[in-house]
Amino acid sequence: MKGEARMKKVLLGAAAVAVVGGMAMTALPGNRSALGADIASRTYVAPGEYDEFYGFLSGGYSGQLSIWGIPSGRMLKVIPVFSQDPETGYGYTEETKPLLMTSYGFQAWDDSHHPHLSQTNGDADGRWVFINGNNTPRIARIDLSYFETRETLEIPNTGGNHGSSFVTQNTEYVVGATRFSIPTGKDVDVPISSFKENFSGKISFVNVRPEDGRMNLAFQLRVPAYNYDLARAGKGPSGDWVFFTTYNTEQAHTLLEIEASRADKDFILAVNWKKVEEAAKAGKGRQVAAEYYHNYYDPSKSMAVSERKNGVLQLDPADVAGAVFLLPTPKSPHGVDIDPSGELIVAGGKLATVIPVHSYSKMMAAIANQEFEETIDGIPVLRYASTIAGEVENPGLGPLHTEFDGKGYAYTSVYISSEIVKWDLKTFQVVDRIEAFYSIGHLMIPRGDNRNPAGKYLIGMTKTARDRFLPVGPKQNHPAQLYDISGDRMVMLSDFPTIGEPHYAQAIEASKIKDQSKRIYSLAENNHPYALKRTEDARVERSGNIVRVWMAHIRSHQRPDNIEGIMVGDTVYFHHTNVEQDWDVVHGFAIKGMGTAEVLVAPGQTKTNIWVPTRPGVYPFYCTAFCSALHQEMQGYVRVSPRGANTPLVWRTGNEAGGAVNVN
Amino acid sequence: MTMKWAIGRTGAVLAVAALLAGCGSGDAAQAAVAGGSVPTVEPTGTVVEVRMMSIGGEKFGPEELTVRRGDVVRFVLESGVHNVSFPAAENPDGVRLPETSPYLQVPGQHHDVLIDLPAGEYTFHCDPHVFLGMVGKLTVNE
Repeated sequence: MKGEARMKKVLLGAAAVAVVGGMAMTALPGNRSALGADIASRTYVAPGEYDEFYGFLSGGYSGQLSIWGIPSGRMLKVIPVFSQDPETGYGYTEETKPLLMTSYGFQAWDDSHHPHLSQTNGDADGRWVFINGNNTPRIARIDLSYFETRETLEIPNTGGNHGSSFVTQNTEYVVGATRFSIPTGKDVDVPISSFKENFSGKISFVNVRPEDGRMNLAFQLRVPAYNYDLARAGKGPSGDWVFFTTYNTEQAHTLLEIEASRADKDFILAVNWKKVEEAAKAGKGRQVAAEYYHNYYDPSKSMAVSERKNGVLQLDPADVAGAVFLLPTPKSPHGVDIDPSGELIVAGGKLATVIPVHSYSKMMAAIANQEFEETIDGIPVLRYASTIAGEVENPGLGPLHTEFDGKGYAYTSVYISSEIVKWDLKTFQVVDRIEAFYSIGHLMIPRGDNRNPAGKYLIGMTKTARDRFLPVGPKQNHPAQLYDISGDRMVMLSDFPTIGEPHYAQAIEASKIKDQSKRIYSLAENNHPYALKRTEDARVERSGNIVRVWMAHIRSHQRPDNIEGIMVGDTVYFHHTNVEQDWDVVHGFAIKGMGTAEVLVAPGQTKTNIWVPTRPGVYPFYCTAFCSALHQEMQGYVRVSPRGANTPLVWRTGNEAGGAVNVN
Repeated sequence: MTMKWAIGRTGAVLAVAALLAGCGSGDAAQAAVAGGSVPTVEPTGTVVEVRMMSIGGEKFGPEELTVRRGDVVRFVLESGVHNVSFPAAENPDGVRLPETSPYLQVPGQHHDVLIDLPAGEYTFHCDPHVFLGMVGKLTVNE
């Protein structure tokens, strides 16, 4: 690294000392892991009662988002986002496949890390939750009235959208920061060893339409070829800024394990998004080549659609004077978190032995006084001593992420020593610590990144379960651990396995969301071109090799339920409409040998699956979702004849419809 | 589970199904009235049947009927899963309307409504299928 700020405390070389310190602090009285009956009652939510909070846990390598009740730890739902989901048909049906389209083609999987709730005045408002796709860079928006993915936006010119999907304090923007720097330009073929000459990083700003949440890639900022890790927007006084952590400022492109850990410090990148926005509106920057997909639910079609886009406005820091700065920060920092007042910028130096805390007001003063130690790619580097408010000493080994309780305390997850440390935002003294089982990554307090946190519980998400639950083989699910933080001391309340690998999570009071949850999709507002509004309109039509089945689903039959005249080589579109308007009465569809997934159709929805039969025969189909007392009677047959057979195309539903044969 | 069903020509069903429906077994005096309160009308002993159907379109049969105050309207499930409700927004103000029925799921299952309503015209429908046109009109005479 080029910058050589002074460091008071440092580095993994001091690990042994730090461990001793950590152990000393751990020797506090009382075994708070030994659960008593009173502790069990604190997580007990009686049957039929509701939890106090909704928790949204990322799925990590599942690509999804799961919703949990807090404090019970009851799983409420898994919302498919970036990965196909055969359980619901997400990513298999024609209505949802567009959400997985990218400029690299259809992506059946991704890695979802950081859910972030939309905010108003720095507090979560419960309209939407955004989440990043890490591998093929994307941001998704999940609607919290239907609780489903409504939009995905590819982030071009980046590699690994890890520093995402964090919103500014009024959801003006949701940001993305490239983890991998990559060659500058579109589809550039250069030697990997030309990293320093040809590679760059990108910070992406996606604006969010207030009325419906629709995203738009507004502009990108070209930044030095580092790895960008995590991000947080400021709030209150710092609300015009977004902060990003960097590592690999050594600019290694191989064996980062060694090469990217050499420098004493890396940086926090501070970006004044308002100034960059003003510069973009004033015509600064330039359109550069980019190819990306924007996929969203189109209410006029009641399905998702894809748009392929070209070009993005890109700015250099030099285009925007006084908007971009680097804050030296030890050492390969991971998280960057802003306290409720908006004044303190807390870094988690994952190889550091202190938690460095920068001051926003000191940063602003240092900028005004030009207390720069150098300039990198046109970006002033502020002096460490000028911006630092303090260092939390003895935090354990490998501090990562920090959230706040709104009562003057911060809680930092510490990976290597596997603990949570609570420290005082005024004195920077550690006041409590508690073990995490095992190897904690992110932690989360309900609205713990907001201006007004709901600091009653804390959930730590750990990387390995080992002996915590009944063993289930060499690969086990990742635990989440619930702590009560309402008192002076943290108390562990429960421990439950999760879905995929939760990285970050967010939680919000149930009272802010539950009453907006929809009970049905309105059939009256179903604008799908193949929707049925009356069961009498159910029918089958052939056009060449394409056969379309308008199928009505109603307890307890499909209409039609007998179809003949399909031939091998036909492409059959089943357009399923659940014509009922009854909360949580879902119909499903599967046909023998279908080769894809079932289709679940919620009340009032239309969903489509495509079937290409390859063998003659009579194929049973049935409702896969137990819907009524006569669910098991909800079934039918499709007769498939050899190619060229003269079987007429007919359909029927029972005797009553027996005469109603439709031949095209 | 094995159940013996005794279904007559009209589709009326005996005790087991009536228990499932959570309402009376066909005794007019036991029929549901609003709020489970005591009826204010003397039952006439007349039972008028309305079928509830899904096959070939979701509908009541008949879709319009006329009864006297004190008659019982017996909603009998023929196919599908249905309920019957008298929506406040589409009925006269200030009238104590019959309670919404439970869902009927088994063919032959029925729900009785003792008509304890002033003379006039009333609308009823099936909640999950009202959009599909499953609506009925009830005229009550003194």
